[in-house]
Amino acid sequence: MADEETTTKKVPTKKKGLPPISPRNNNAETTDETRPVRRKKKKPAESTENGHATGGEEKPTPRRRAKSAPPGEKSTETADDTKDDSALTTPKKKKRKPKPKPEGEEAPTSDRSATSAPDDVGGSKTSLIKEDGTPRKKGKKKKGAKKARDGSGEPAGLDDSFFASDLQDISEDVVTKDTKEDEADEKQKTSYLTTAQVLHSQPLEKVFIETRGGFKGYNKAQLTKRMIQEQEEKAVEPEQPTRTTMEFGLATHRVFKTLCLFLHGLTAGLALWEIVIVYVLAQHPDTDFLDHYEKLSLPVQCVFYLLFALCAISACDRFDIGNPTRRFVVQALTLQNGAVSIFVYLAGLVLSLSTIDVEDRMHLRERDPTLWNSTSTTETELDKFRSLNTARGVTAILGWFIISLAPNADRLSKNLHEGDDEILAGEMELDTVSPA
Amino acid sequence: MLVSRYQPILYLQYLLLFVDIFLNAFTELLRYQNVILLVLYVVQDICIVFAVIIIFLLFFNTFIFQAGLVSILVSKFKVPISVTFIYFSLCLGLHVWTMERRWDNTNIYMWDNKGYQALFIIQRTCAVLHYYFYKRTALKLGDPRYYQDSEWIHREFERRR
Repeated sequence: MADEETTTKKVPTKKKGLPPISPRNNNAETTDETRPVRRKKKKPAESTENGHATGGEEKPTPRRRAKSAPPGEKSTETADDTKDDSALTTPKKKKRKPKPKPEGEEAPTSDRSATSAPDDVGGSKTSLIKEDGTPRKKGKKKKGAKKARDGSGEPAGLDDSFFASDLQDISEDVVTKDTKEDEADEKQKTSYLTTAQVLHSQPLEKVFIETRGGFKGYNKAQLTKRMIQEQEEKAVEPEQPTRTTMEFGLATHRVFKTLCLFLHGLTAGLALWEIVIVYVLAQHPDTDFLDHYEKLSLPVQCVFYLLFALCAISACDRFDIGNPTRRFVVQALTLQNGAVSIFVYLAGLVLSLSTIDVEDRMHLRERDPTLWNSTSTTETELDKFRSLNTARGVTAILGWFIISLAPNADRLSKNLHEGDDEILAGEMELDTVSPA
Repeated sequence: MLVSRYQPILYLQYLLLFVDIFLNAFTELLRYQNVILLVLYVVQDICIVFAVIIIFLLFFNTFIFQAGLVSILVSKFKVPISVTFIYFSLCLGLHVWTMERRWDNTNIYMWDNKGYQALFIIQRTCAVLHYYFYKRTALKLGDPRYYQDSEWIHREFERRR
């Protein structure tokens, strides 16, 4: 029995590599939960003795066997484990462990879960650096071993020298274990790691920015790029307002110009229609003509004034008579540019206004028929009206024709854009020359 | 000058010009009553006065004016100013004459007086020039160079002191 005892002790201790750790943590919380586990350990320890006998001193092997060998036991123990585990942590993470290492690992699982907490608290900075896993775990294991001495006093107290030699094995044991346990271990630790991360701020790749939908993570590189872009946009924007009063004025001018280009054609078309109507109605007797045309006379006069006025303004804009230069005047007089259209339209305007007396006479025919009593005045007035109306129509069409030869001529906007400096400069030169 | 400040001013000037040109074109059609005609004429004259006031407020706002170089501004804009004043006086005269003759009967035929027709034609033709020069001045006063300090103004000031 004594030999057996020693062997049994050897095995568990080696196996223990983890078991002894359990009691150490028991002092804190898991005393009730781990005790049953420990009891179970002894059973598996006996069962694994067979495995150990064959495997000798090699630590990894017995464990593997333990994993593979006792499937029957698993079923019984996992049931208990799951109970224990569920009490400790989430079943997901635990379930993985119990399955591969049912006997020896159970305690460690509970241990680790428990130990990781204090370890993290102690060395959270190291624990956060995942690459340094192996060295850290060594230290941890040693700690665990130390604690195993204290916590599991019963086996340590029996023979220290024996246990000391055992501890060295444990350290090796742990190292080999690490590779297997690492994944599961880390998964367990994540829960603690998260808390550790919250407690100790670490520089992250991401930056969290609050948006309408909450906080969103952005990559630092992308964010810096975007910020640079925004800054560039901001830098570009302020330059615009310095020029825009002029540009806004020119934009409204362009709108007016486009509208007037349409009105030029409308005036010409209306004039042509007017001429045709008057000559068609002229085929009838004068009274017939007056009957038909009297309702049309004054509205046509008003519309023609509006159209001619707008067209004349547009023609003036295009050739900017407000800023005449010698070259421009010469060109205008020799008909080299379309400045004649200004005079054509003004002539049309005057002709149109000149017809108002006849048109108003026609307009008032209903109210005052005496105006058209004498046939002689009627004839002369209508002759005058027809000729003036024709001349008016011809000027409208001619003006439109001249404008359409150079529809993009826009001397005003050009002068507004650049000419003012010249004017100021020219004035200055004149002023400076005159006193000298 | 800021665009946000210049924009409503320019739109207001365009509106005043449009009201003016519309009334010029259609008052002959709108002579239903003598009072209506009178109101329309008064509105047109007030529009012209407002337009002149706005232009002068813009003048007062320029850097040249604030620097005391009023004469430069006047010499630069003497044509639009004179055209506007001529047009305003012609308008006023024509409106007075028209109201005097049409007050009793708005639909009286009054083109027998050739002087009246001549005034009518001159006023309407001058209106076109007024629109052109006023619009040009309004656009020109949008030039930011009038509202900021420049070397030219400094030299001018030195010379005139």
